[in-house]
Amino acid sequence: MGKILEVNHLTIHIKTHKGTVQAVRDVSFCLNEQETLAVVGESGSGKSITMKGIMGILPKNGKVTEGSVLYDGKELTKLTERQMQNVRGSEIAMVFQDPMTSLNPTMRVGKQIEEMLRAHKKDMTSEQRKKRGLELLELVGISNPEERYRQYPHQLSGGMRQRVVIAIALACEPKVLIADEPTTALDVTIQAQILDLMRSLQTKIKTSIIIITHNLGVVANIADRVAVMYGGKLVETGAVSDIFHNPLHEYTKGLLKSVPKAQEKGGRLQAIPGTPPDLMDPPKGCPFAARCMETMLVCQKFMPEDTDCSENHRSACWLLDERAGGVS
Amino acid sequence: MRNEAIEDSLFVKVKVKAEEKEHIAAPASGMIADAWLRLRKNKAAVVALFILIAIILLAVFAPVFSKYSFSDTDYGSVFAQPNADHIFGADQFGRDMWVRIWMGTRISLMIAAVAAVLDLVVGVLYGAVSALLGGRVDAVMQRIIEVLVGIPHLIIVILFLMAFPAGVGTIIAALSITGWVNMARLVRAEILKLKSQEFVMASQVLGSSKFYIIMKDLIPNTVGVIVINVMFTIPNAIFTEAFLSFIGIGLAEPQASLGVLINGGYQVLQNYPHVLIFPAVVIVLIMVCFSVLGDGLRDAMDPQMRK
Amino acid sequence: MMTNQEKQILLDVKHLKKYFQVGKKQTLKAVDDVSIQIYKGETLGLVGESGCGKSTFGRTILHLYEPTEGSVTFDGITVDHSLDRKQAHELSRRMQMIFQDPYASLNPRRKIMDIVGEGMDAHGLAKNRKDKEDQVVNLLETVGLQAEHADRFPHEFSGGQRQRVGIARALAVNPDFIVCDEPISALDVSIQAQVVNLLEELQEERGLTYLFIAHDLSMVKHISDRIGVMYLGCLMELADSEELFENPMHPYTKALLSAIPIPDPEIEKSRKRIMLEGSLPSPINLKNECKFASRCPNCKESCMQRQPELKEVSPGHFVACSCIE
Repeated sequence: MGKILEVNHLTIHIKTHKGTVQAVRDVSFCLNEQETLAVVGESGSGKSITMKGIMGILPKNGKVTEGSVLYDGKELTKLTERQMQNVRGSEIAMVFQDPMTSLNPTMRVGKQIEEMLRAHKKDMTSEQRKKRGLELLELVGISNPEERYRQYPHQLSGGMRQRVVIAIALACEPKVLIADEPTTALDVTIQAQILDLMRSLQTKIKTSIIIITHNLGVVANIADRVAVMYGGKLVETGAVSDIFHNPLHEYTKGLLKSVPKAQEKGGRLQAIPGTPPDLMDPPKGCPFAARCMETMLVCQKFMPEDTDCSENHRSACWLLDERAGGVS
Repeated sequence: MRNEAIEDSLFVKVKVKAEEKEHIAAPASGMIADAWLRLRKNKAAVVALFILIAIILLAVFAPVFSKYSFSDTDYGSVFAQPNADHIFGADQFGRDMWVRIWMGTRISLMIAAVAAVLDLVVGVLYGAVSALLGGRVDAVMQRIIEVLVGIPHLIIVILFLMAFPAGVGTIIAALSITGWVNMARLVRAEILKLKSQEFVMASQVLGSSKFYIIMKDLIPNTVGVIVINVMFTIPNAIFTEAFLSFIGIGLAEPQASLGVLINGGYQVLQNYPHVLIFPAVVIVLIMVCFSVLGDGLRDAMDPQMRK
Repeated sequence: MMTNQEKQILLDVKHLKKYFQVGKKQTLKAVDDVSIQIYKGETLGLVGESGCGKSTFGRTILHLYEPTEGSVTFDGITVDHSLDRKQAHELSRRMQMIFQDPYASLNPRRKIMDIVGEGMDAHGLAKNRKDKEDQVVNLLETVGLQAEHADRFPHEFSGGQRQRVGIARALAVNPDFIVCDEPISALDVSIQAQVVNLLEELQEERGLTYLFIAHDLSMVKHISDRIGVMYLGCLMELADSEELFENPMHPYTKALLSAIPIPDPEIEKSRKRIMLEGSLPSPINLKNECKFASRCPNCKESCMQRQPELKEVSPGHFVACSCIE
C-alpha cells in the first residue's frame, strides 16, 4: 500500500492577544491508502489544528511555520488559496463534529450536495448532479432519498444530518476523508450507526480516513492505526493492536488505564494526575513530564526523539532509550 | 542517539504535587484586566481613546485658560482668520472660535453623557425587571417598548422640544424619552440568557436569595453589554443634539453647542469656511472615535472570544 | 454491598411528572411518571440518550423545576409548598448538584473564594470572614487544588480543575445527597478518571448519596451501585449495575449496551451489535403507546396500547416491557 498523505515536521503557531500558542510542534505521520488512522489526545493537544493545517483552513491568526504536507506527491503548504480550494472537497474532504452547524440551515439538503458537485465537477449537467446527489444519500443509508433531498437540515435528526454531512464530503470521491470527532455530538446508538456506515463506506469507495476522537472505544472499533497526540506533539503511532496491547508511551498507558474496563468492577480508576501543559509556554522537555509517573531528569530537560520500536510502531519517550533500561 | 543527554541525568524523579497544577499566567487577569489587555492590541481603539481623552480635556480646560469667554464679542475681529490671537479665528460677532468650540464640545458632551446615564439607569432597570419578573409583567412591558419603538424617534423629540422651552435640560429629557428602549431590550435579552446558565442554577441550588443572584450573578455579567451600548449611545446623542440645534430647535445663541456652531458656520460657508470647518472636524472626530472605541470594546469584552 | 434490611431510603420519588408547554397546544413530557427510590449511601446511575429527560428529572428533584405531578420525599420530608421557609432552606442545603459544563457552571465574574463560599454565606455556615476563608481553602485541598487558587477567576482554570471547583462548591454546605448531572461528559478521558475517583473518595469519607446522570455507560457502570435506564421520559429498566450489564432485559437496554464501543480492538471487531432502526422520536405529543414501540425490534400489538408499568421480574430488577412477564 502506498502513502497517500505524508506530514513532515508540521509546526503550527497561533497568535492570540496573550501570546503565541505553539499548537502543533514538529508532527510527522503518514496515511496509507485505504487505511483508517485514528488521532487521539486531550482537547487542546493539537489534533484538530493539525488537520486544519493540512486542509489549509487554519483560523486567521494561525500559521504553518514549518514542515510539509505531501498529498499524492503534491506539496500542499505551498499551494495558493485558489489551488487549495480545488484540493479541498475533491481530493481531501472534512467532516466536522457538529452536524448542526456544518450544514446551511436555509438550504435544502439536496441543493447542498449539488453545490459541492457544482464547485468541483464543472462538466456535470444539473440532471447528473441530481442523480448523483440521490445516489449519495442512498449510499450513506438514508431511506427514501427522494423525499429527504427536498428537506431542510432542521427537519432531519442529528444522526441523519451527520449522514448528510458525510454524503457531501464524499460527493467528489475524495481520496482522504478527515473526520473531526464525527460522533461526539451524537448518542451512543446513533454513534454505532455512523461508525458502521463509515466502515462500510470505506470498503465501498476505498478512501483513506483520518478520524479524530477522544473515545478509545471508537478507536478500537474503526481504526487500523492510531496516532496519539499530547501537548502539541505526536507521542506515539502504531497499529491499533499494538497501541491497545503494547503501549509504549506513558501517556498512552495512562490513557488506557483511566477508562473503566467493561469486564471488571470496583476498585479505583488509575487517573493521570495534573493538567495538560500550557502551549503558550510549553515545557522544554517532554510535554508529559509533569504528569508522568516515571519522569526522569532528562525528560524535563530534553525533548525525546521518535524511536522505532518495531515496524510501524514508534514513540517519543526517554524510557525507550537504552540508557533508561535499568531505571524503569 | 544524541550525546547531549548525559548518563547521570537518567534518574527517576518524583514531581512536586503543587507544580503540576500551577498556573503560568500572572494572577492579574480578571475580566476587566483581560479586556484591557485585548483592547490594547487594537491600535485603532487605543488611538481613538487618546483622541477622546484629549478632546475631553480640552473641553474642560480650554475655556478656563483662555483670555476670552464664549460670549465676549469683539467687533474688531469679526470673521478673523485663524491667527495667533484667535487660534481658530472668530465668528460674525468676533467671538473667539477656540473658546466657543470647546465650550460647545463641553455642552454637547455633557448632554450626551447625561442622556447616556439616564438611558443606562432607566434601561437597565426596565430590562432587568422585565426579564426577572417574567410572565405577564414581562409581556406588558415588552408591548410598551414595542409601542415606543413604533413611533419615530425624531417626531417625539421634535414635538417635545416644541412643547417645552429650549434649553440643555429639555434636550436631555427629549433624548432620554425613547433612548433607553434599546438598552432595556439588550439588558433583558442578556439576563434571560444568563438566567438559564448553569452558574445561576448552581446559586439557586445552594439556596442563595434572589437578591444575591441578581447582584452577584446577573448584573456583573451584563456589564459588558451595558458598557458597549453606552459607547454607542453617546455619539448618537451628540449627533441628535447637533441635528436639533442645526435645524434651530435645540440650543439657541449665544449658548454654544457643536450643533449651534455648525449652524452658524453653515450660513457663512462660502466666505468664511473656517467657521464651519473647525466645529465640524471636532464633531466628526468625536463620533468616529466613540464608534471605533465601542467596536474595540465589544471585541475585547466579547465573552465568545474568551476561553 | 448492603443487605435489604440495612437499606434506608433517603430519597423517595413517586410518580414524578414534568411537562413543558411548547407553544399553545403541544406538551413536551420530559419526565413522565417516574418512581424511584434512592438508598442512603448508594450511587444510583441514570443513563439514557439526550432528550430522554434524565437531566430534567435531576433538576425537578431539586425543585429547580416545579413538578407537574408526583412527589419527592427526602429523608422523610415531603418537598412541597407546605414546608415553611426554614425547612425548605435547610433542604436546599442537604441536596446539592454538580453540573455538566465546567465552563458555564462557574460565574466568570467571581473569584473561586466567593464561588466556593457562596453556599456558606447562604446558610450561615461560616462564623466570620476568616473562618470562611479557612473552610474554602480546606475544601479546595480536599478536591486537589490549593490555597493559592482561591484568588483566581474561573477562566484561568482547565476543565477538570473547574469541575473540581464545582464539587468543592457543592461540598461547602455539607450535603447528604448530590445530583451529578453529567459531571464528566465535557472532560477529557484522563481527567474523567480524576473526577470519578474524587467523587468515590468523597462518598466513602462523607457517606454521600449520589444520583449520577450520564450517557457514558462504562463510567456509570464503574461508579454506580444501581442503574436506571430512561427513554423518552420513562424509566425502562432498573437493576443492580452488574445485573443490568450481564442480564439486560428491556430491548432498549440491550441495544444501548451493545452500542457502547469497547476499548479493545479484538472484542470490538468480532462483536455483534443490535442496531436500532431510526432515531429518537420527538418527545412532543407522543401517542399513548409504549415509548419504545417505534424502534423496538419485537414490537407487538399489545405494545401499542399503553406504556407498560415497571415490574419487578427478579429481586431488585425492574423492567417496563410488556413482552417480559
